[in-house]
Amino acid sequence: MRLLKYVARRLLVLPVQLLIVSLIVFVLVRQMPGDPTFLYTGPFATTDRVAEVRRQLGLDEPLHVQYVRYLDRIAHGDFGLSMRTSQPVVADIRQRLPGTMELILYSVVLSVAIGVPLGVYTAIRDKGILNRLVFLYGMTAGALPDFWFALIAIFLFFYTLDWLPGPMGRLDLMLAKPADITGLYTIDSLLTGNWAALASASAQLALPVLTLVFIYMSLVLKNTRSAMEDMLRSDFVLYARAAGLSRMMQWRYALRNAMPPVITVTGILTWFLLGGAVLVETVFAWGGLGQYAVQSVVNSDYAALQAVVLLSAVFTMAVFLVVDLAYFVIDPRIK
Amino acid sequence: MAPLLDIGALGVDLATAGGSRRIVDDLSLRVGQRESVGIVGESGSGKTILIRAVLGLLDPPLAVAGGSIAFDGRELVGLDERRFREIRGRDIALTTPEPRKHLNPLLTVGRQIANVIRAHRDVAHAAAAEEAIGLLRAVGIPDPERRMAAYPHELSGGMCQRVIIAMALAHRTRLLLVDEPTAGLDVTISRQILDLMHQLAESHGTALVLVSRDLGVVAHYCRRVAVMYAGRIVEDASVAAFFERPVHPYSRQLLRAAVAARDGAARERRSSALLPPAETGCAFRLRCPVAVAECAATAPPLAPLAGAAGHAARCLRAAAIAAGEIAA
Repeated sequence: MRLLKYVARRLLVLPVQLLIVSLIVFVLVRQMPGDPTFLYTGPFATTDRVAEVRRQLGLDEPLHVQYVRYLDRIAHGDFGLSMRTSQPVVADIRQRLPGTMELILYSVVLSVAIGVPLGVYTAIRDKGILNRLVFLYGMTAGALPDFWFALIAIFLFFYTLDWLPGPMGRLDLMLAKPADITGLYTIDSLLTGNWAALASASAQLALPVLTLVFIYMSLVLKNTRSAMEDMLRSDFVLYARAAGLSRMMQWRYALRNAMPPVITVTGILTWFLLGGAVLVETVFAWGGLGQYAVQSVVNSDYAALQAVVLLSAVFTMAVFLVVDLAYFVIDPRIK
Repeated sequence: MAPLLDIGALGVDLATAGGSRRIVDDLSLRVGQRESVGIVGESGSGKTILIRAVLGLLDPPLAVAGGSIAFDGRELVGLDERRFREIRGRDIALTTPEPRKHLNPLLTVGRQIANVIRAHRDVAHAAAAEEAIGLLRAVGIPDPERRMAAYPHELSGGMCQRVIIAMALAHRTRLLLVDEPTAGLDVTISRQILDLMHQLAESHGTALVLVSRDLGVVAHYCRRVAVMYAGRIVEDASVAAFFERPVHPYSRQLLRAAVAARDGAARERRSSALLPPAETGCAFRLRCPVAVAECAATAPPLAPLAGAAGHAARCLRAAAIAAGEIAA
C-alpha cells in the first residue's frame, strides 16, 4: 500500500519532467551548427528552392510555434521522419533500440552477478590470491578504453583462436531474424524455439558483452567491496558478533546494509550504457541506438535526435525510479 | 568459591607503524559468581578494550599480548573464533552505549532478538519469535507484540537500550558486561535502565561488570570498584572502602571531581589534567600531587594495602596516604 502510493506519486511527476526535457532538447537541437534544409536540397539549390523547402519543413516559423506543433505531433505518436533514413523515426528506433537493450541487459545482469559476489568475497577476506587478482583487475579495468579492449577481444577470440564469430552485427548474415516479439534476438528465438538463431545471437553477443562486463563490472565490484567493508566495521555487525551470531549472519547483516550504494551504481551503469556503449557498438557493427544518435547529430537530423534524447530521458527516469523503489523496499527508514 | 571471571596480568597491544604500543598492561581482575564490579576511569583508559578482550572481539591492530582470561575455569585467551562464538551471547553478554547504532537498521527488533536466540539454540523461527515477545515484555517494553515489528529508528534511545538488554539476557547469561549504560540517555531514563539491568541480573543470578565514567552509578549498583588509568588498574576495592577512603591519588581526584559535579560547584581545573600518562615509572606521576623522585624510576605494582582486606592500589605512597601521613 505504502509502495503503491509511492509509485503513483513518482509517476505523476513523470509527464512534467518529460515536458521540460522536451523543451530543452527542442531548443538546444536548434542551436546546433548545421541546417537540415541542405540535406534535402543538396548544395547547389537556388535560394528560392531553399526557402521553399524551409517552408515545407516548417523551419521558417518562430521557434515557439514549431515547438507547439512538435508537441502536438508527438502527442499523436508522430515523431517525424528521419531526414537521413527517410523512415519514420519511430520505425528507426524500433529497429535499433532492442539491440542496445540486449547489450545492456546482459552486461548489467552479468556485472551484478559476478561483481557483487566478488566484491563481498574480497571485503570478507582481505588476503589471498583471488583478492590480489581482483585488485589488479580493478586497477586495469578502470584504465582501459572499452573500444580498445573490444578490438583486442576480437583479435584474440575471433582472428587468432576463431572461437567466436566476427564483429558483424547481432546475427549471422545467413540467418533470418527470429520472429519479432520483444526485439531481443536471444529472447525471441528462445520463445519461438529457433535454436539456430539463438546460438548465433548468443555467439554474436559474447564479445561485446564480455567487453562491457570486463570494463564496467569494476564499478559494481569496487562499490560492493567498499560498502561491505564499511558495514563489516559497523557497530551493529560488531554487536551481532558480540551476541554470538554466526559469521554467515554477520555477513548477511552487513550485505543487506551495503546494498543501497550497489543498487545506485547499478542504476548508473544501466543509464550510462544506453549511450556510453556507442564505441563498442561501432566496433561490433551493432546498429544500436548509440550509433543512431551519433549519426543523427552529425547529420542535423532534428526529428531523430529529439526522439532519441526524449527516449533516453524516459529510460533514465525509469531506471532511477526502479533504483528508488529498490531503496524503498530495502530500507524502512525511507518514507 | 572459584571466581567466575579471573583476569590475570592481561596485556593488550596496539600495532602501529612504529611498532606496538601496550595499551592494557598487567591487568588483573576477579569477578565472583553473582558479583557486581564497576570499572571506572576516564575515556581512553582502556575500559572498553578490556571488555572486548573478554569477549574475544579484538581485531588487528589490537591484540591480546599475554596474560590470561579464565571464565568459569576455562581459558579464553587464544580460543578460536568458533569456540568464542559459542560463549558470546550465551555465557557472556554485552550491552553497549548508543544502542541504536548497535542494532541492524534494516531488520525489525523482533527478528534481531529471535536471531540472537537462534544463534545458540536450535529452535524454529516461530518459537524464537514467541520467546522474543516474552523478552520484550520482561525488559518493560509495553505492547511487545506490536513492537516486535518495529525498526530501531522507530524506537527511542531508551527503548533501543531495552532491546539490547533483551538480547543480552536471551540466554541465561552468567556474566553481563555493561559498557557505558548511561551514555546518550537522559538521567531518568538511564536510572530506569540501570534499575532494570540490576534487577534482571539479580533474578537471573548474573554477575555484572559495569563500565562507567559515572562514579555515582558504580556506587549505587556495584559491590566492588576497579579504577583504571592508562590501561592499568590503579585501585581495586569494595565500594564501601573506596568511597570512604580512596587511596590512589587518581581515585581521589576522580572522586573529588564527581562530588563537585554533583554539588554543582565550580569544577576544579588543573592544567595537569591534560598531561598524557607518563611512559616510564608510574603513569600518573605527571598529574600526581604527591609524586616523588622514586615514582619516575619504578612502575609500582598493584599491591594489597596492609590491614585492609580486598583493597589494593598501584602507588608507591599508598601506605602513607592510607595512614593519613600525606594528603593526596
